[in-house]
Amino acid sequence: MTTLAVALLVTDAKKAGAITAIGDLTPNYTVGFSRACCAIGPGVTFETPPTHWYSHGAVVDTIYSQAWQEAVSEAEPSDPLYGLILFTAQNASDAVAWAQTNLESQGLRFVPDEE
Amino acid sequence: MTPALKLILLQGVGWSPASLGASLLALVDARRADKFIASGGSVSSITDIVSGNSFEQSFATAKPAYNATGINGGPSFDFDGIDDEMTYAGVWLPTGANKCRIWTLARQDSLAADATTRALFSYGGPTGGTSRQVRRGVPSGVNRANTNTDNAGVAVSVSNTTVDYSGVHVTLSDINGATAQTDVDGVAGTPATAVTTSTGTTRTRLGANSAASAGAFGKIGISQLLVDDGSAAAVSQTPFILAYLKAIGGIA
Repeated sequence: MTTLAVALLVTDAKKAGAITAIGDLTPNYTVGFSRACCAIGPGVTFETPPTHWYSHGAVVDTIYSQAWQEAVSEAEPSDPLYGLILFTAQNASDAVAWAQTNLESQGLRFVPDEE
Repeated sequence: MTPALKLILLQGVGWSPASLGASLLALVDARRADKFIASGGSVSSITDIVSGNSFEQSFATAKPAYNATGINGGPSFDFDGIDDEMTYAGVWLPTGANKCRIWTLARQDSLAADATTRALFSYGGPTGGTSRQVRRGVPSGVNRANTNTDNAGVAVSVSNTTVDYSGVHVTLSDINGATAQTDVDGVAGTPATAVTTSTGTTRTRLGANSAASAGAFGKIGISQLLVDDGSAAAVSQTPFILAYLKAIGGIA
C-alpha cells in the first residue's frame, strides 16, 4: 500500500455535497471537512462565517486520493466535487504547518476557535 | 524513604490503576489492544476500560493514528492538530460541585510558535464555563500544560508556569471543587479559585474541546488517560500514580 498525506479544501456551498460524494466514491475512506476557513484579513474572529472547509488525512492510500483526483478533474460545475482542491505530500511531519501553507496559497486561514 | 518504596516510585512496581478501586473513574491505555479498534493505522474506536464507554470517530480523515512507538518505545494515539478527535456522546465523570483529578501521559507536539490553545481531553458542556479540559497553551511564548474548568459558571484557565510542556510529560489537572491546579511531572502549579458548579453532561472527547463542533484540536500523542474521584483515598495514592505513568513514559 502506498500512502500520502492528503488535505482537501472545499467551498462552504459544496461542503455537504462533497461529504456525500466522497462517501459514495470511497466508502472505506470518508472525509469530514470539520475545519472552518475564511479569507486572510483583519477582524477575523470565531464568529467569522466560513467560506471554505478543510480536512486532513495523515495516511491515505493512493487508491483513494487518485479516485478523488479523477472525480474532481471530470466534475462539471454543478457537481459537488467541482472545484475541490487536493493537496498531497509525502513525509509531511507537521500537519499544522502544512495546513497553514496550503491555506495561505488560497488566501485562506482557519477560523479561530472560541476561547 | 525505604528502598522498596523508592523502587515503587521509580518503576511503578506493584501498583496499577486497579489499586484505586472505586476511585478510578476512567482509564484509557494505548497499550491495551483489546480496548481500541485500528485499521490501516487509523483508530476508529477507543474504549474506556472502567466504564466501557467508547470514544468513536466515523470520518477517516478525523481518526487519530495508532503509533506503535509513539512514547518511550510504546504505543500512543496520535492526533494531528487539524481535525482528529474522538467523541463519546455523554458524560459519566464528575459534574457540578463534584471533584475529580485528570491525569495524562502524552507527547505534546505543538511548537511554541503555534499560539493556538489546544485540548488533549475535555468533558462536559460545549463551552469553557461548562466543561473540564486538559489543554496546552502558550502564555509568554512557552508551551504550558493547562486546566480549564469553571468558577461559579465562569471559565477558569490555570497553567503550570514552571515546566515547559513540550514532548512527553505526565499532567495532573486537580479540580477539587474549590480550586483548580495543573501539575506537570509532579511539579505543582499554582491553584486558582474554581468553585465548580456548571460542568455539563453533553459529551466527552479526546483530542479536542467538547464544543458542538469540535475545536482546539490537539497535536498530541496520548498513551494514558486516567481520571480519579479526588477522594482522600485517591489523593493518598498520588505518588504511585505519578510513578506508574512516569515509568510508562520513560520520564526520570
